Amino acid sequence: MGWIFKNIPKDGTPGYKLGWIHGCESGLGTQFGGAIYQSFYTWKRDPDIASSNPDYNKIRKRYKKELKDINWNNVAEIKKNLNDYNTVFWMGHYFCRQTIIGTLKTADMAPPVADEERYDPMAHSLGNIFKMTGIGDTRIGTGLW
Amino acid sequence: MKKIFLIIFLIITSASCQWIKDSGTPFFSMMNIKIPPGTPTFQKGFRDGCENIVYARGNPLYRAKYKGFRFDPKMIGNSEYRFGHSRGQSFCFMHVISNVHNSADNYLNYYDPTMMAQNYNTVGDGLFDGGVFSQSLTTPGNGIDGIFDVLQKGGGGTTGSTFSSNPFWAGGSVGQFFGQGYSGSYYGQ
Repeated sequence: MGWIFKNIPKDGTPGYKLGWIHGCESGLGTQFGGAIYQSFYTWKRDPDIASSNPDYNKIRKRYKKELKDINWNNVAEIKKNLNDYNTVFWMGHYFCRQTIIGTLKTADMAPPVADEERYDPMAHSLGNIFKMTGIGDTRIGTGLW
Repeated sequence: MKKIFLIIFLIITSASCQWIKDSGTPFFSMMNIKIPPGTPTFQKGFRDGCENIVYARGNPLYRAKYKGFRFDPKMIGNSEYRFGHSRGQSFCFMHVISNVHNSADNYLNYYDPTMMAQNYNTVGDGLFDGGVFSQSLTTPGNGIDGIFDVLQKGGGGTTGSTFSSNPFWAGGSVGQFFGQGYSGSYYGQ
């Protein structure tokens, strides 16, 4: 699933990037990703960053690598980064869950909604990405081209 | 007379030249979506939001055309940009999911009777004919028969009501219910 993470904007702040990644992983862990993606991803929003009174020291220690470029002596910069995290979290969440369901629909593998049916491994295969009868049939025009 | 016809012709045809007035309107590339009027910041937001969702929910053609996630980190604090982004995303979502469709031959599934008028006896693998409700038919007062039996007999189970018989069975001789018609030519038979 690495390709989807390549969508992260390169010029964001460290907080922005971390928020996007956490949002994206959380999005992939929803029902939109079906049983397979739910096995690998789950809710990942950091409760300390989302807190209205965040403990900067705790956050700094937890994300030594990801947030290393933040000047932890500058409160304004810290706040900006945490704010970016919280804002972009939902952008990443939305984008990734829509992208994954778009991909699964293209392969005619849209996950069932809860209680609809059991997951059927026989009907799902990696080869489905070449299926011509999924939602994105490229043999015919969409009327928009 | 010819001049009059020519003038009328020109008026009629030029009246449809909306494109002249709209020639400056930016369109979203390769789609019939106009970027709505607004400030350049709003329009940038709208375009980015639209591109986001068109990539996410579009078919491989859209994914080849658009680059993926778009949300300018430098504009994160700009409410106008964010407003445009949100509007573009919502608008284009409805657009893209209504136009990206399945293959036409997806619908050529002979065994899928979903949209075809059928007989209640045979629908759903014989719902009433050997299916889960078959007991309702063979055992009076049981299951569905019992539910509608009350309407005829009342709570006491014996007295007559406005129904002269159980309304569930108010069909013809081939097992229709509630007065369902039967043409004898349903579902390919």
